[in-house]
Amino acid sequence: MEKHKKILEYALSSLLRRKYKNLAVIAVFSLVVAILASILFLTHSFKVEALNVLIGAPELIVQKVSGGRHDLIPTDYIKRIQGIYGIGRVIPRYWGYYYDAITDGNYTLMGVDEDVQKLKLLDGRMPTKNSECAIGKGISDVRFTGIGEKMYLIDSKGKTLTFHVVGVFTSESAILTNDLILLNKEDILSLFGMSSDRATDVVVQVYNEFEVPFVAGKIREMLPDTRPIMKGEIIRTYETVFSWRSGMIFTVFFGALIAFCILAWDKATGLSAEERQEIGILKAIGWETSDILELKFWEGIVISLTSFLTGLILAYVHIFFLGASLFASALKGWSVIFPSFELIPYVNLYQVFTVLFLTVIPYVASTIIPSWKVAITDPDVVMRG
Amino acid sequence: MDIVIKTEGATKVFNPNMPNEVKAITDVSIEIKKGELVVLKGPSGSGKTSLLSLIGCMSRPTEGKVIINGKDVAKLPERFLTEIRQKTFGFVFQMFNLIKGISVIENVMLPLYPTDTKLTAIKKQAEFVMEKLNILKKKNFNVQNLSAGEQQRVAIARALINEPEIILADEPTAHLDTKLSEDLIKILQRLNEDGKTIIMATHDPFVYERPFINRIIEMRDGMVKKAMVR
Repeated sequence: MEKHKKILEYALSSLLRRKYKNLAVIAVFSLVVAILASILFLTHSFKVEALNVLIGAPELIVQKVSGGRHDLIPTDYIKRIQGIYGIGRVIPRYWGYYYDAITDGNYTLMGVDEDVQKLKLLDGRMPTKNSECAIGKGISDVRFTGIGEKMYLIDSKGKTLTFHVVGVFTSESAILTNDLILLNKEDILSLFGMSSDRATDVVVQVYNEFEVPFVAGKIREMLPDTRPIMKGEIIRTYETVFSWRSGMIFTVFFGALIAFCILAWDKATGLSAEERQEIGILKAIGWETSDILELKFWEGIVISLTSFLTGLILAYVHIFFLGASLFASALKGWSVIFPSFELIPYVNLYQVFTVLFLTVIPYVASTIIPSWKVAITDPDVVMRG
Repeated sequence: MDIVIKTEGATKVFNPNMPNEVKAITDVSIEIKKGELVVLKGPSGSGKTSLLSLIGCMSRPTEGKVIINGKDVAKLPERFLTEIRQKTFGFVFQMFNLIKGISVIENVMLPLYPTDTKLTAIKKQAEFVMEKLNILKKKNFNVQNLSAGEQQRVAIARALINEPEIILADEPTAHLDTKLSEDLIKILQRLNEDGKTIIMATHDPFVYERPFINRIIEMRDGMVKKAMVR
């Protein structure tokens, strides 16, 4: 133990001797870890938030399709669907996307229903009568409006409608509510110019979740112009979209990663004459090859772990405190670009260990291997250069 | 007197069977007894340093034997050679070979770092040898800030910290002026009087003409030309 303590102490003193060179390596190394970890943190946070949203989402949604395009569904389909065995309630939903020219943002407008009632309000209450609305925090911020104030929206005929803001919400998931405006059903119908015998889609409650695929098949058979969407499909789509986007960013930063690998390899393999001489001297005065390797191991570990932890902290601050300013827009996608929101920190330990494995271990290995090559050479040969 | 070092037909070839092959020493057979002060004399390139490296287990002979305290070390695994270097020899190099950027005392303590001796005990031992060599006052100095003579004394202190029975010195006066060379010779003479076996490679007459030198082994072109007992 005493021996290892002294070797560690000497390793730290060795690092301090070459402090400028090592600080430069730590800076570059930390930056690379920060980029990698930022992408992973952000992607994971989005995925978790998306999954959180979907936990409360219905197991089965049915949309009408006309010529391959999503169309409004006739409400008389509800009775026909209810006839299928094993189905509970079938609830129509009224919602749609709204482009707001003032803020150049896309909002989600939704009629109040039971699902929406589950959302938590940051302040105020849910709309209970016409001309009332509850809005997401993002919209409240970009439209500079809040409880007791007014919200103006343009309807399908180009007429300006005035709503009283009665609530601003938050939820477990910022993704869900940030761009949301909640209105009464009649207001939604009027704003979008929908007839009262049409809904945007219908939610189907199935008693046994294992029967969802079977029920979906039955609906498709009975109503060929509909498209049943299962929750599992949506989850898979989210995961694919975020994985694809993170992959795209990884590709963009691939050049930087390669540059770092070259730098690390060059630093580690290209032992300077001074470093080779030092290994020769240590061997000559009685250090074993294993002692040299232990020394280089500690040097590599100190550099790479310091860089890893610094990079991780930088990534955490960048993502969860600075709103992922570097590449959030690439990962968030168009629909939520405008109303910004704060990400809730979710860190996947598996991903942290992946970054650790991809950065610390190769660096330590590339530090030890060239030193080992020198250490197994006769000290006389090493010292002669 | 016991024979502590013996070489039998020792030959050292660098880069064998390559275009840049160099035969550093050829068929060298010598014996060195315990407590002797022996000088390996000869011009540059005569093989003095290569022979010193073979004796000090810093390289292995291409052919022949190197016997240290009765044990042929030529074919011993690296681990055992390290142990012999650590416990038997103290090295004083021509270029001092100190580690730059660390203090005098750290340089002196280095040989005992990879042992289980406690740091405080190592420090005490380092201060003891530094006191003997009159460099204790400079213990916290960075070695780069010392004069050549002081650096040479630090190198000797480092060679002595593990209390070796044999000291190998390669051209120890090469970078010292007359006064510092005189001081160094006195130190080596004192160590020899204390019972240490000393083997010194030099081509400096200021060193090898001293009367207390027991034996001079003259080398030329990698071979022993002449051995003289004084």
